[in-house]
Parts: sequence; structure tokens; C-alpha cells
Amino acid sequence: MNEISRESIIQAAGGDMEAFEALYKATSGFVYNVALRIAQKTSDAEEITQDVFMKIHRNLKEFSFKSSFKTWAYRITVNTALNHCRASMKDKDVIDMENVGELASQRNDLKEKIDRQDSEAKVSEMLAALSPEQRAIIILREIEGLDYKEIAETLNIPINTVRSRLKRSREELIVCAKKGVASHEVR
Amino acid sequence: MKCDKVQEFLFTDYIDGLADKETEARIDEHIAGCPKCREVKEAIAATRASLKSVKREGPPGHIWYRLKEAILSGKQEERPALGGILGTLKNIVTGPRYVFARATAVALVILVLVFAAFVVQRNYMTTEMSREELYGLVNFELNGDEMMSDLGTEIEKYFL
Repeated sequence: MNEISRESIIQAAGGDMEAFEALYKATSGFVYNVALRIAQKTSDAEEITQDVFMKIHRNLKEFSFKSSFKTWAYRITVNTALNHCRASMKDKDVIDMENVGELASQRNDLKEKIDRQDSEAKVSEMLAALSPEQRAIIILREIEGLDYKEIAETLNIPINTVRSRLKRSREELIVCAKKGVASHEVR
Repeated sequence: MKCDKVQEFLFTDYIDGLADKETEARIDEHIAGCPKCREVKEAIAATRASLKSVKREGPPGHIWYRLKEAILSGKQEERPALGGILGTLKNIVTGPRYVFARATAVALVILVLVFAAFVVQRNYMTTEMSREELYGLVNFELNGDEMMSDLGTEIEKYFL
């Protein structure tokens, strides 16, 4: 995402619709993608995207430039998407991690299996195997490319929590890939 | 370094390029001699590659139009009552959404004016007729008076 200039944010906050449209064009891509990956459904992603920009429009005047606009927008997006998931009752409990410890000892065709999961559908399946919170952190890191500090600011958690959540989410992704992603589908 | 510790790094700092050189070297050394940890490293790398290959989609165009409409309608609601009414009136008069409403209103006004003109003309004609009738009656009465006065005169003349 391109960084938005302070001036255009101020203009948009002042009610300039053209400035807000420019802001929308610059940020709607990542908002929609994050929403789509977390919610896993196009219609939900559209609803979340609109909701996110309504919130941005309403609260733009209060944006104090303490964090970057990008982080602020990511935070609103992730929170809105997670709330949407909770409200939709689409999220289920996290799968047990009991098999993670055995991971290293199982020397089967894991890599080959993961290599075959390059397609979009497989990625969606892999993400669907995670809880919405885990999906959010994986999306921010692996797809959006945020660093630990940015993720910490976005999710409002300490960096060490980012580290531990990432570890757990990655472990789970690998377990799911190994299991053929059948054990924990979120519908 | 033991497998647990190595994998701790593998899942986080090592794979994200945050481990310092010394730690990285020790992990590499461990992996070289540990097939289990090597497999974990490869699995993480493969998963990441899959996730990074995800196609990014842009939002459908209609979202912006829906959003804009929602924002603009929200703004109208936020205005004070009189301003809101004026805004609505202005919108009705100039807005593109009310073309048919405006055309209907103009047609109605023309219809009312034509009807009013017809009624006024009819009233005018009625008034004129009434006046004629009235004057006719007055003239008749006058003629009657004249007649009576003539008669009176003649009678008076007769008796006198």
C-alpha cells in the first residue's frame, strides 16, 4: 500500500469527497484482501470493506497521526473483519495442537504435499483451518508483508505476543497441510 | 542448540530474517545435521511460498458507489432540521434523481393553471349575465315606475 499524504488525509477529514475517494482508491485493495482472507467469503468481504470505510470516514477527524494511516487502516480492517466473523458465528474453536510436537518426527511426504497446495483454493483451505485471529496474523505477515512492529501496532499487542502467535499459527498451518486440511474447516 | 530451541527460532525470527548472524549460523549448523528440523524448515518455507503466491484482488467497483451514497445520505441526516429541509428541497429542484417528479409537478401546475383560467372565465361570464339580468330588471322596474307615474299622472289628470 502506498503511504497516504498527510494533506490528503486532512482534506478527506474535512469532508472533501474527492480526497476521500483518492484515499479509498489507495487503500481499498488491501482492506478488501484482508477482509476476504479473514472472512473467506466475497459477500462478507464487500460488506466489511464498506463498513471499514464508513468507520474511516466517520473517524478521520480524530486520526491524530500518532501511528501511520496504514497501521490505523489495518487495525480497523482486522477488527471489523474479526467482529464480523464472530457475529456470523463462522469461527470455531482452534484445533488442538497436540500433534504439533510430533511434527518433526513424522517424516513423510510433507513437503510434497505443501508444494501441491499452491493453488488459490488450497491456500483458502489452509487459512480456513485457522481461527480468524490466527488468519489475521498470518495474512498481515505473509500476504501483506507487515513486520513484527507493524503487526504489534495493528493488533495492539506486544511484539513477543506477535512472535508467539505467529509461531502457533504457522505450526497449525503445517499440521493442517499435513492432514490434508480436513480436520477443521470453517464454514 | 536443541531441536525445541531451533524450531522456536525456525517458526519466527529465523524464517523472518530477524535472527542475528550468530544464532542463524548455529541454527544452520544444527539443521545440517538434523533431518527433523530440516523438514520443519522446508515445510514452513513451502507454506509461506503458497501464501505469498496468493493473487490479490481489487474490490468490486460497486462498493465505492454504495459507500459514497451511504456517506452522502448520512451527511444529509446529520444536518440541522431547517438545513436538512432546504437541502432536500435543493436536491429535489436540482438533483438528477428527481427528474420525473419535477416533470410531474410542472404538468400538475400547468393543469391547475388551465383549470383555474377556465373557472375564472366561467365566473366572469356568469357575472356579466347576472349584471345584464339585473340591469334588465332594474330597467323593467324603472319602466314600471315610469308607467305607474304616467298612470298616476293620467289619473290625477282625470280627477283633476
